[in-house]
Amino acid sequence: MDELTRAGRSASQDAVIVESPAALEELLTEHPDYDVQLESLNQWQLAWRRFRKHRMAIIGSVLFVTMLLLGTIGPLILPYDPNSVPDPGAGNYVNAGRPPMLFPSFHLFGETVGLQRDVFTLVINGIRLSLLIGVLATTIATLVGTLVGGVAGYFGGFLDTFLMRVVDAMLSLPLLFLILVFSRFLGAGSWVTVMMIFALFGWMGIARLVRSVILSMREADWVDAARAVGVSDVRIIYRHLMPNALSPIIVSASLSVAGVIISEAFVSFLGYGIDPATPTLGNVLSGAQDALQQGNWWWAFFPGAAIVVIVMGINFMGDGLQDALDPRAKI
Amino acid sequence: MKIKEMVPKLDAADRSVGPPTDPDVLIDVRGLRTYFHVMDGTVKAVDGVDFSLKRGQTLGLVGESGCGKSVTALSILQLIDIPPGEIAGGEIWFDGRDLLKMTTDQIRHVRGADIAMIFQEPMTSLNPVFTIGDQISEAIILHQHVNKKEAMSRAIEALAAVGIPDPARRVKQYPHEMSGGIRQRVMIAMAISCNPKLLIADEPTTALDVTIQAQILELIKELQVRTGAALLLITHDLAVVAETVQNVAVMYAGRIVETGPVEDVLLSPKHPYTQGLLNSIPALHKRGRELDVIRGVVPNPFRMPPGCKFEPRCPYAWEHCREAEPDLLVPPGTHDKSRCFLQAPENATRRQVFDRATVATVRGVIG
Repeated sequence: MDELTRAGRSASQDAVIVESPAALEELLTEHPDYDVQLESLNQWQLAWRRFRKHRMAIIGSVLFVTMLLLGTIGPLILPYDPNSVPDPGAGNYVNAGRPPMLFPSFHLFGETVGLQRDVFTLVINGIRLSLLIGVLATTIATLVGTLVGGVAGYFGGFLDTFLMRVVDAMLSLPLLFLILVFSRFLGAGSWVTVMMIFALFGWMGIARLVRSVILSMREADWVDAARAVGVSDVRIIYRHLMPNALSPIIVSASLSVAGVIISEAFVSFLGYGIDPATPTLGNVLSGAQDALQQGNWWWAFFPGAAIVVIVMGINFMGDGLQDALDPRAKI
Repeated sequence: MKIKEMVPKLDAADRSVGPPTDPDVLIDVRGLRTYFHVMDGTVKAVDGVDFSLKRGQTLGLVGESGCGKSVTALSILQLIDIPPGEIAGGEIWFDGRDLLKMTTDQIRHVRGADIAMIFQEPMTSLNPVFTIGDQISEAIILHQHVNKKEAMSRAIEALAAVGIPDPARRVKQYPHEMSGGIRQRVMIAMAISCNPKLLIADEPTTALDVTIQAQILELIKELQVRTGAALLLITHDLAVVAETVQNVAVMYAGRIVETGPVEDVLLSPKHPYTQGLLNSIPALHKRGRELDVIRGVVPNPFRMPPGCKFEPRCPYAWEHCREAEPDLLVPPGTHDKSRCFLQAPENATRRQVFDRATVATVRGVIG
């Protein structure tokens, strides 16, 4: 069913929208005088319908949104401060001016030995920063990639060749070493620097994708039809071509968030990424290495689990989006 | 083999530079040449096309696939992809201005506002992610500078004008919810929404089934009369031409081979190609006989014949046709122009054979 059914006395104002034939039946028995009319669904309404019926996508979204909420709200209400380096003499919990006994010695995921930091606090803050880096880096990379790919695909010719050779050149650089080198020489491990590095080297895939989509649509009759009524090139790109390219962009961007989070964790784990004192999931894991030998499994397990849950959630969600946004799919 | 470049000669009347002197002439295309530079060389898709169209009049451009009729239309609006395309020469005078000398921005304001185009494929000519109301009002907002609400109500009017029932509901629908016939009506509504002076219809009925074809043609004719726009109808269907337009130009291999009032061209063709086209129309009384066809195929665009482009397929050709290319000649006693040496006064003897065959052909078509 590609349409919503709209029923109501005037059929336009104050209409009741019903989605299933059964609901319509019920409504009509109640109000036999109602008019019935079909209403078109747009691309997004159709996609939402398919997404809702995709079980894994819903599970993935719930996981991802939960992590997102933990990451955004968590740091605001937790009593412990993840950043303060503990005072060796004090030998007590670290807090940032909050009364230390507000949550009396209760540690949800255990307490880190030696440094005496709360693992739950670390994980929550790690989630916050990892997600922030993933989302921001992906947003920037997607914007740049869409712009480059759109221009290359639409205008073609020399511009296309030039931009695509730049993409090829950048893709041939070993990203891992670049990140290691860059984070050594730029900004000394600030998370903004690392995020910018991921953005700087993450747009090429999107550029290629957008270029190929635009290239295949540039020859479409409706593009000629739009040009024939006098629509400008810029407007054709952003108003006519981009909405058609949006589905693959959204899918690719959502999966890229997961990629950035894993890469960041990996780089930070090696100790080359963000300053070890900053709690990202990778840094927390890195700090847990010694603790593992002493049997403090929770220090490594919970940040590791957080990465798995986030990435799994995003991947399920991305799969669902792919199916939901594919106009040919009929679910 | 090196083929000598032949520069097409223009008629004396068309050689003048500057806008047409007759203010009634809306569009005057002179010596239009559109080439495509591809891997294997240069395709001269349109090679010296001249025609003009007066305000409110109708002209049919006929010819088989690949003869350059669509490229001619796209060249007028400059919708040719450059590269590989190139408008290599000519002038297109429209309302006192040469379209080929305009900047990109200037031509953009002509497209849709002064010259509108109806495309061949209604199924793919509408953007799938927008409602048709959005698409029609885009052109209106662009050229008439009205707000969105006003544009939408004009879009509804345009849809009503092309005979779509319940237009207020239809504007909110997406292209996939409509049939081919309705979509072509939408395309026509979009084309007329800004009251253009010239309407170009590029095979508007080719993709539709026969009953819908008749309706759409009827609609285009009716709107042409009602709005007073000139109509350039591109088709390969002689029946459509006979029903719809006042004048016709027959194209072959990138140039016009015969042009004139529709009854002259169809009832007394002056070019062997036109005669061949009419001959190949199947008719009931020809039942059981083998269909007459024009023998041979369209010349390879990279190896055009040096003389007359139709010479290799022409049953009347003689040596002279291989050596030189004819101009558009005006045979005595008609309004026709024909690009054929048969129409030259010195070839009157040869012409008698052709004329006898023409009489038989026309009798065959009328039945």
